[in-house]
Amino acid sequence: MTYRSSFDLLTLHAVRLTGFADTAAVARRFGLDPGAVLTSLEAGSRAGWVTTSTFAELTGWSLTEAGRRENERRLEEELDRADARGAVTAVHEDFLPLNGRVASTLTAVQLAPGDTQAREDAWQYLTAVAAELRDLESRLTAPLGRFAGYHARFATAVFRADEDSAWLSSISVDSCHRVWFELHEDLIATLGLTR
Amino acid sequence: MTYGVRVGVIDLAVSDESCGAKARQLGVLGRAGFDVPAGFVVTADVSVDDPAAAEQVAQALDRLTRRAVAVRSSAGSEDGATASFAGQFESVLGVVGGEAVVAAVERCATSGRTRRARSYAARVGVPTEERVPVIVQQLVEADASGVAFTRDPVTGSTSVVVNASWGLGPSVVDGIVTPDTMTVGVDGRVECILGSKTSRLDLVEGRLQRSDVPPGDRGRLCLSTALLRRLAREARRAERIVGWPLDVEWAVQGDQLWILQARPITRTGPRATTPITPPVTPMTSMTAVTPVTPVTSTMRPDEGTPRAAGDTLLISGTPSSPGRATGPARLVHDVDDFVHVQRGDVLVCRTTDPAWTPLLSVVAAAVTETGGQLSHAAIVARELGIPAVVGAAGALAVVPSGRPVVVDGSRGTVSHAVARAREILEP
Repeated sequence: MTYRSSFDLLTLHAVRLTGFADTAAVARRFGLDPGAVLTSLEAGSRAGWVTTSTFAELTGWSLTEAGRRENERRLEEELDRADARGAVTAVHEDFLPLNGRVASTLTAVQLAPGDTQAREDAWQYLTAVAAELRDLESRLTAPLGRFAGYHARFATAVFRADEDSAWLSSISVDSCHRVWFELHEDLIATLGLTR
Repeated sequence: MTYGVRVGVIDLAVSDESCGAKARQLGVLGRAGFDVPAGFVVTADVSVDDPAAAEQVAQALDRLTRRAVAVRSSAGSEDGATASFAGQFESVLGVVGGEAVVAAVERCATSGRTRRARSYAARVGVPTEERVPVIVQQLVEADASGVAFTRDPVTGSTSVVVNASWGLGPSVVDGIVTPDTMTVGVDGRVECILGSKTSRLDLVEGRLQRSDVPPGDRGRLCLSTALLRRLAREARRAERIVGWPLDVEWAVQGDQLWILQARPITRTGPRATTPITPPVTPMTSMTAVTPVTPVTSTMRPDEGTPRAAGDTLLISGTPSSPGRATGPARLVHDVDDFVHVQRGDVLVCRTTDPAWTPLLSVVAAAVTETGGQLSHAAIVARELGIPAVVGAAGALAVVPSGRPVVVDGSRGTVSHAVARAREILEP
């Protein structure tokens, strides 16, 4: 039975996953109503969990250290309520070896920008990873619906990377690296692990 | 497609083209006197569903002296530059018993059937094998293992770069731990960066088991200088024999050095195409400035000092994104510190996660205490074209907050910037 996460958990978790984002981007992460998200973020701000910070000329919401702890406390509670600990732990174990390969693959392309063979190898491998990610995601979403979407985003990034390699690891688009790394963060946060 | 004239179960020591590229390479190295673990190849035309073939596999297994084996596909395409993707990533370690070996052989043999392999073959114009040859080798119950590159993957120089960790190979190959990184220059200079090596994979009573590495072992290099030099010599000799830069998978058991696999490097660092002057790097270690991880006494002392005049080394780590930048050090312990960061700062932190990505986009350079060349900070820094040094343990304790520092992401050093820094900061 798929568990549906609460609105407040999703808002706080969206801040964790987007890292540093404006209200609209936080709301988009789980397709929530921006007005309601802003209200929830403002409440979170009064509780000391989220903060709008500005550094250089960037402004966005991020979690405070207290917010991270609150986020992890709620995720753990949800994990047990959804009876999903076994599934998420098993997926995390299968994720780790893939994680090393994905990072090496993206690194290989970065280190040899003109090497079309490296790009080809990377594209092929990431296509295969996308297929594996679909299976990992379905194992996660079976108990916990909020894990939906990683596969579609990753596959889109791989698809677009075929023509524009920015979609491999650029930080300005929803690239393979960004999606992959966000899933890593999600798994770590959910299981209460440190990197 | 067929593989030459030989079909069946073939001793690895006499393997040739019919056995696939990996096995052929191991056959060449074995015949050249390298220590390659004993094993055999099941050629692509053999189906282990055939009882006679299964019997041949069982007999070949009986001839091996150790119970556990490693089973790997040996992709068919010969040229490393267009090596078949088919089965490139298929390998099964620690397989025990005839039935399990037959199943693992079947899995690796049919890895060429996957959609990804066919699509790849169509794109690059090489034929896809329906089955690929499979290597079955005695598993080396390694004390330490890793990879050795005969080209530096960051600088492209001809130094041998070794990544090493305790136990069996996947810890390094899959990027599960931060390995020791040891570089042996062409002039024989050794440079070592201690990795954290938090866990290890071993064969325990016939089963693979991952366990924590005791603190004492985390804090020391997992290869002696003598073994390291032997490994570098062997890797260079292998490169001469094969005629191409190599990525060598190795394992050490006691004093015995084993060569497990040797693949051509098809990508080298950014400077690989220009003539390389080996970087004259002093024998430094990040351990020199952190009390928890003593420098091993077998290493040569710091010989000084090819760094730019005026810089005083504060700490070193793994060079992860090339380039050199100067800026005031900003020590960021957690997201609550983000507000203090200004454009052009040098970010010094423990590690990074998605919240830190925008931070990386405004700083001049990044220094992290944990992680390796594949970490989030390293990948994002390379993407942004800023220098990065990762795995610089203790950086938060030794880098003085607010003072100008120079980060050299090609050498992996963070130095105190004196006088010169002012010119850069205030032109």
